[in-house]
Amino acid sequence: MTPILELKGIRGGYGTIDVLHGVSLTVEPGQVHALLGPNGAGKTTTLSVCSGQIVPSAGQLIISGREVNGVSSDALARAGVCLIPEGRGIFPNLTVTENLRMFTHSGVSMNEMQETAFAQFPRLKERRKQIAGTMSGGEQQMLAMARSLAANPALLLLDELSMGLAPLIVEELYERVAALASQGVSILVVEQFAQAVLGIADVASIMLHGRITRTGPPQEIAEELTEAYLGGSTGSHA
Amino acid sequence: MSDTSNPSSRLQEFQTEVDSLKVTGGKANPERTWVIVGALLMIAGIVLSIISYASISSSAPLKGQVVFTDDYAALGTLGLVLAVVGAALFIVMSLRRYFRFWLIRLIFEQREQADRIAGR
Repeated sequence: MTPILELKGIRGGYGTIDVLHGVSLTVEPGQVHALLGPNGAGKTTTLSVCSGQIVPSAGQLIISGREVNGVSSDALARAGVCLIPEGRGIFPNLTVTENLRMFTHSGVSMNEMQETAFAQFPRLKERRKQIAGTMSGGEQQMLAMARSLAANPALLLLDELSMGLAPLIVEELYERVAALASQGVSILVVEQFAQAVLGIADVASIMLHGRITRTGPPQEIAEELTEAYLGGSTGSHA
Repeated sequence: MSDTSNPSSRLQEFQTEVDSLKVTGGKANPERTWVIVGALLMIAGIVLSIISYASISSSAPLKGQVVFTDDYAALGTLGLVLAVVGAALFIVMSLRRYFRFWLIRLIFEQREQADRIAGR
């Protein structure tokens, strides 16, 4: 089966500074791929490349078998590549309903948007008139996820879902992610705190200094993570 | 919104959408080419001017020989124009690169600060 997302020797970064030094990874349809690594490894930059926000200076970004280097991020989003950025990416000064309305530009009607959002996250229905910035971190993350689910993504890119959230909330959110994966959505999830995501991942990769140093089953990766985070080198390369 | 209950139909729909995407092949660092072009123009212009003006001064007319001093002068002026255009291109594109990087850094720092204040 054609991988839904494939990076081949991707190099890229910000301005003249390269952050990624030849990243290669593959996400199969319906798979949850966890990309783990310490702060500054290049995980968020990798997601920016996948979502079309950063054009790679070398290498190939292949989506569903087609090389799409240089494609605009809005075209990719409309096609079904959805990024939930670190820091949630919601409008903190608007209410929950207003936030959902802002996301209807992708062609989804407000009714459908609310229906999907409130069915997935009933708590948002209770808070629909509340200013989004005054909600708890977990509820804000739910709102960000609700937006992406309503857009019916084929490929979901999640950046640090657990950031600043209580473990119980994180667990609840990852249950949603697992449910999404079971519906056939392919997911590339970036995490600094591995335990949160390894339980639901099919494949995991470790990223260090702009390179994927190891890819394998989550159980094996979990054992090597401590060494990788503390500066040791991982054995075999992906 | 399309049907989410059938993953394979969604995948097919996604495949169709991806196939219809317009891909420009875009460039990661669009100014780089122009910086190089500017530098080359500048060097070529300076070299052309030096050679042309040097040819004028060293071309003492011999008996019965025609010297094309006007042509050399025109070439020298063309060289100067090329050098000025090349220098302008080089400076403008270098500044664009620098400010792009500066803006990204500013946005990044602002986001960091906002996160610190919000206690995330």
